[in-house]
Amino acid sequence: MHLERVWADGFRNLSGVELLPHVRFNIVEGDNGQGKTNLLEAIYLLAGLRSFRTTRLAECVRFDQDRAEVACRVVRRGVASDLGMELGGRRTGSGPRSKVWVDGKVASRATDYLGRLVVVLFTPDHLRLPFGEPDARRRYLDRALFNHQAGWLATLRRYDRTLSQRNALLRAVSAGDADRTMLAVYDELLATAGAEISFGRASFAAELSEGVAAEFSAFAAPGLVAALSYKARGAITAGMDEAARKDALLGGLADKLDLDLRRGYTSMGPHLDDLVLTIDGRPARVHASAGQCRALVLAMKIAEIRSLERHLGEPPVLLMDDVSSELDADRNQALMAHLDALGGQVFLTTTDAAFIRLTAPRQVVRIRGGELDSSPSPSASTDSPAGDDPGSMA
Amino acid sequence: MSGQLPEALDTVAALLGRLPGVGKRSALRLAFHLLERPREEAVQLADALSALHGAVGYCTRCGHLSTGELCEICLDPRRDRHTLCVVETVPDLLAIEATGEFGGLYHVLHGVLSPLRGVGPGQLRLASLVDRVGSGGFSEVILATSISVEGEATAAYVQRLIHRTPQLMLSRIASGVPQGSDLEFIDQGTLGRALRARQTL
Repeated sequence: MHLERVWADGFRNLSGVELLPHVRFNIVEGDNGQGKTNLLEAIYLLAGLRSFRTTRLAECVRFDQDRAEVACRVVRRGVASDLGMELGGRRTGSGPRSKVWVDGKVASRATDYLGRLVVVLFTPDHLRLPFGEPDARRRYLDRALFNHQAGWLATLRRYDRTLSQRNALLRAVSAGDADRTMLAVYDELLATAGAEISFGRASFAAELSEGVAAEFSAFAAPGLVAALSYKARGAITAGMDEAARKDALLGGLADKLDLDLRRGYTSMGPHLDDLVLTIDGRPARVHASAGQCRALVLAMKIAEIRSLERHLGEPPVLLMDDVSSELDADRNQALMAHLDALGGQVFLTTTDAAFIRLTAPRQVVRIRGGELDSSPSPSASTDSPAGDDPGSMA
Repeated sequence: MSGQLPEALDTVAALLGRLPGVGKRSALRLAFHLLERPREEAVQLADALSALHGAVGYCTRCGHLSTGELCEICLDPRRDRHTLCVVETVPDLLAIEATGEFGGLYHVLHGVLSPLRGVGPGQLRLASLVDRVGSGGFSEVILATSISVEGEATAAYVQRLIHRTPQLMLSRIASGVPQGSDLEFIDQGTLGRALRARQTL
């Protein structure tokens, strides 16, 4: 799939930005604070109706505006559709917050909208995944899963909501305001939703792990084996199906009940699980070098794109936010060669297009003060117009 | 005149501001509107408001809106008295009525369990439900609370409360209903299908 047009107005510092992207590589060049990442954020928002920088969409509206508008035309399997989103800002007050539409019609349910544009995001934060906290790795895994099944978000939300209710009940029981027998109701609901998440994540991690193992050698010294595995708390083991996970979760909740009542917090379940990254069977965060960890993340990203391509029947759109500046020359070159071979549309931001070592067809656009800079520049060039690439022919 | 509003206007704005969905600014706008319109309109509204609670109450049996002790549905001889549908709120009841798929009686809980909001079994019309079902006569109880976490928890709790007998079937509306949505907002076709495809618990 690819974007033919991207529009953003009143979105962060962007005003009236219209981009007609190349079907392959789009290099968005600009100094820091000029709006490069905002453009990627707008595309990311159009794909999943969420930002990767904030959970409060009102923050994305330019401070002096009531509303922001982002829109795009996406071509999926040869069929074009127009997606748009209007966001209410902080000044809008309690009115309707945001609105999305498809082909000019307002979509009232997220399920009518999601799945038309699928993007994979790659930011420098991802390079820190092996060293970060488990919640960053869970978020990474959940976002990748969401690209495969749009309903994943609703599943996660149901679990979170049930968890909050159970935690509130734990505190009410401790305070003597609620009856202990009520917990059985929430334990059952939590274990059901939790097993679905645990099983979904574990299966997906196993699939991704095969891809990672295959891609890793391109970015690291030969002979090393990289793998991912989902590590659930309690008595849950790798091969368990959803029903077995539910039983294990119920058992775990019962075992920890006294502790949970004291803490007022549920200490068992997928909200505490981890995605373990290993190299030669040992946790990467402890045993691997910084370079090996970067190679592992690159392999994860390529594996994610490939698995999504199998699922969608065509490559997703890739958004890379200033990743090249964090990689050494060799890894940069290996990454670009991979992306070139993968096909698909790529948006890369950089402070200097010269960082991007790429021979493939591309377009360079410059962004300054929230607007596209159309003045000629030595590095801004379009060597092949959109649609002229053989890869885009149906 | 100072920047202070006259007390009467300020009071009206403050009271309007307590209504759901009405913020401080809209409350003031509404209050100004009432002041600028002819006096009779404001009086009409005030009269209607003061008559409201006296004229409309709740059915003592099912909890539906009623002008007398029992509501029209409970009094209607054509309704099937062997089937009971348990709903969260009156708007949910009206949504199910509008599908035309259900001819039995209702029980309105007036809420859902939510420890987060401090709503426990004591705040819902659960005791009267247990009494109603326990006194016999029903062959089926349909739990039509919404497919949200709160609705599911409430249905699960009711399921534990009701004493099941071989003569009594307990069912839950099927989820043709999208996750996390309130029954009120679903189109009637979907709700009708969900009602027909209900599952025995």
